[in-house]
Amino acid sequence: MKIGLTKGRVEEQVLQILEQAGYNIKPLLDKKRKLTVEVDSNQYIFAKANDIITYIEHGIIDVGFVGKDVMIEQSFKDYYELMDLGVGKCYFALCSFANYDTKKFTSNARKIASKYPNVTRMYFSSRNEDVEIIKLEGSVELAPVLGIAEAIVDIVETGSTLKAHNLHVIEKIQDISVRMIANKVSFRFIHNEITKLVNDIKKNSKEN
Amino acid sequence: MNNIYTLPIGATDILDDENKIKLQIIKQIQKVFDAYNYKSIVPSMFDYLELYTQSNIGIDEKQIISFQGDEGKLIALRADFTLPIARIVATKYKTVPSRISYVGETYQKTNNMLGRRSETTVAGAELIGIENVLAEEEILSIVSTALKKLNIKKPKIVIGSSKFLKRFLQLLEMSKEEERQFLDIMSYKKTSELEKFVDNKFAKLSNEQKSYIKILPWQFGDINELIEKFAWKDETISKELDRLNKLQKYAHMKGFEEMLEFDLSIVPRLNYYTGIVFKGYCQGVGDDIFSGGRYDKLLEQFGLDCPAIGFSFNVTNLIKLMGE
Repeated sequence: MKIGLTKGRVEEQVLQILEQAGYNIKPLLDKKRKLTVEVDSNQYIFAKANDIITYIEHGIIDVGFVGKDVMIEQSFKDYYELMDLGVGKCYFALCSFANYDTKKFTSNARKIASKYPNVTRMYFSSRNEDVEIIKLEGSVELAPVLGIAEAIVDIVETGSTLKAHNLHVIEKIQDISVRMIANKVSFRFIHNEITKLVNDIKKNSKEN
Repeated sequence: MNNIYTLPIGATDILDDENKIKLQIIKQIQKVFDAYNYKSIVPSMFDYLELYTQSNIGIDEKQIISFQGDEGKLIALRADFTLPIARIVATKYKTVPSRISYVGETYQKTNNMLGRRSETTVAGAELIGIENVLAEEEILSIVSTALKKLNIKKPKIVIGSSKFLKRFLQLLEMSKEEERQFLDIMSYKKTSELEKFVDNKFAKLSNEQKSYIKILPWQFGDINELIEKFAWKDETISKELDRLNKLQKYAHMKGFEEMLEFDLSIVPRLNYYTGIVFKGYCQGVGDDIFSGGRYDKLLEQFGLDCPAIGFSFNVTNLIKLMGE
């Protein structure tokens, strides 16, 4: 089975879960610069979340562990979302300075900066509000501070980065956590292996 | 960048080696269509965009390639064959039953560079005008014969039912928002959410019924097991499950039962399906190699009220398989 893990924090959290579920993760911790490691009968692949989803789309990998934030933003959604691992919990929120609602604007559509333009568009569309979206790659908190946007739609975890810039959560949009997704074809052909992985993780999390 | 040397995003040339494989695949499929007496037609490459966007069919309008024609109306590049064929049978052939087959290209936009093509070759058949299970049997017979001819190892035909799902939703009596959530959980097989959803929203159901819903996305294979475990009494559903059972028996008699897998949690993507829906998979391709279903209410929109069932092979995906 080919298993994709999002590099970074998700990787750390998922490896811990796999270890608790009885999987041998030592070779995965010792991988150094390698991006793919074989352990027992599985091949583990480490990549960015967006790419894990692309690999799932093309059937290159069978299951993947990715954050719900990337899943919502990406257009490809033709996979099974088998589990919510309950880790990596955070949420999408509209954030700005405390005076957001009452501030007078000079242009008719508010400028909203975000690393997630699709999520931003969907949120404002659901409120029937016309906005101008500015896509940024990261450190989105800078946008209202530097004045390129009035507000941002970003992921909030502890809120400390927001606080450091005098920004507040204006409205929570959606909860995020790490999910396990599976390619639909893989699900049909290696159903037993995938189910075992799901059950191993579930069983262990119940015990915790 | 000089535009005469490269292609636009999503566009590809098919060179002779790939084309050889493509033509071979089409030849084999066409042989089967001919053997079953399906008329081979080529619907127009262009149709008014309205054909695809009318009556909430479920095709994403944003994916269709269209342009403004001379009359000022929007014209679409063929995005699907079933709709143009429904138009043709209702307005030109006007008789039922009609057996129509086709081979050709469909077009869709690819707004990003994620390896998706804007042109897909498909080969399919529509059996129009037969209401009973003989139609399902004939279509699946064509599918299994073509799969054998193409030498596809261990293909799977995953079968669901739009009729079952629609009626099941009615039995569960949920609000629009709950229904939306339920269908989302089913299509994505979101087991984590399903447990909570069932315990919260279906407290009034029996334990047997709650268990059934919880295992539904993971319960697939033999239709008889699904029939046994169904914990409600309903005539519409009984009839539909009986039809699927007949289909399994037919497949057994014809020797392709092994390919079938029934999954009643399948949520059809297109709104025009009214009964059986199915998709084909094989190892080596990350996507389906064929898909189809029954659409009894579609031709009515073109003035000919009659049942219909059809499917098409995704030849582009089959080439990926054979190309190895």
